[in-house]
Amino acid sequence: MKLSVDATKCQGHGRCYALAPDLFDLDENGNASALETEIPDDRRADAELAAANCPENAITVA
Amino acid sequence: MTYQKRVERGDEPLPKGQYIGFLGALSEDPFAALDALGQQPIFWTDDHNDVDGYWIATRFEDVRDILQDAEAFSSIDSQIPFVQMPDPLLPTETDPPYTQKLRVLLMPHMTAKKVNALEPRMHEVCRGIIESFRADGRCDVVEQFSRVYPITVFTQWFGLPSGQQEEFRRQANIFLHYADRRAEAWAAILGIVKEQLIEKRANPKDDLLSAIATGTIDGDLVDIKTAVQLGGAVFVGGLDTLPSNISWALRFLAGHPEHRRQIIETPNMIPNAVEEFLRLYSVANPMRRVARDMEFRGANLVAGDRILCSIAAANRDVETFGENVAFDRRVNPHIAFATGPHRCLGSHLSRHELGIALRIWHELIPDYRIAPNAKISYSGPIFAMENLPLEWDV
Repeated sequence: MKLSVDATKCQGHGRCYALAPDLFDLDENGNASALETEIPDDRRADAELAAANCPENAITVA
Repeated sequence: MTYQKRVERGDEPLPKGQYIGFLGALSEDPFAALDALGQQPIFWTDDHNDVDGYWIATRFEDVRDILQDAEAFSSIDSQIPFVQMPDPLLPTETDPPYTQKLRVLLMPHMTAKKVNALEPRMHEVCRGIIESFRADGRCDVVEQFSRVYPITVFTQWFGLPSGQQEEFRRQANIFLHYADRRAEAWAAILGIVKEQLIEKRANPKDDLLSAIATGTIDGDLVDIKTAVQLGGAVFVGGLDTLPSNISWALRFLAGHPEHRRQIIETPNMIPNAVEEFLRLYSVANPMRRVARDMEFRGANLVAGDRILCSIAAANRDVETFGENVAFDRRVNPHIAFATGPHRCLGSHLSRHELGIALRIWHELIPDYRIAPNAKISYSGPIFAMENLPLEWDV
């Protein structure tokens, strides 16, 4: 399942990393990216939780 | 020029006095007042002292969409009271792309990872303060804890000498709460910041002021004037916000033993409690300036109109968040730190400090109550209690 963070929308709230640190990386400015773009299905729930908690709607789980 | 535009939908603006206004002394608990107001379509208010009216947005979607659209809703010339400050707050009162150029000077020092390194200091400071009054069986949380703990942590990280903390706090308090003395307080704050920046440009250390002093914009060393405005904004940005949030959280917990018990029995729930308190007690409610004539969510906005984004109301939007106070809330996309290009850079520092405050307070004082006959005063524009007397058995 695909995970992505829209870098143009990310504002560095860090909610995704706080909820699922194994799925996301934060750069030196605190902006997020998906650690892996393909993630196993058993991580879907946490990926979707991270997406739901992003105030910028920057995370896509497909 | 006055901005006398009304919602042209047949809706009357709220009668004068119904919206409590949010400057200076507040006559009542602002969050309770906003709950009573409920979420409204964007409405106009003249309810303030001698300045032009402005719009107010209270719905979560409206506030979120305004803050995410920096083109339609500018941060330049956006403040009220519409007094002429000598210089705008930076990066607060800028629009993209300049906003980002300024933010990248600050961001590396304000990330969650960077803040984590401060944790031992936060613990030490927090514990020391609470232990200093624990045996008394009472305290004024606002004066003795909330307005002491964050500033003590902050000034070291910021890079200010300890001998100047008191003066900073004094000037910042004037700046935040006394509109008629704001300009002189700001000048005093900037004077101190400038002195430090010049020193740190010559002798940089690993603190935020040094990063500002040695930062570059488009390849050039940032000019001192811009550096001073950046330093000043960071200083002011955290000064009453986090302290107010700590006080609001403790007031809630003083009156809700079942929530207190959750914190004590399940401390790994504290990060969730932090998010819920940030949601419930959103103390900072930014303004924007309408950039062009537009119809937006039923309101006919005119270029130049100011609009108050009531994050406090938005985060209490029952349609988005339901009615309950829930530490186990799984989905909490609150916008206490705003949303869009001006997301508060202090968010990670604030979260960390609030979490530590909740943890250590309840380790040391698990059971407490608001003092009987307490008369609490409120103030704005950062929604604050001016006093919170608590007591506990010793």
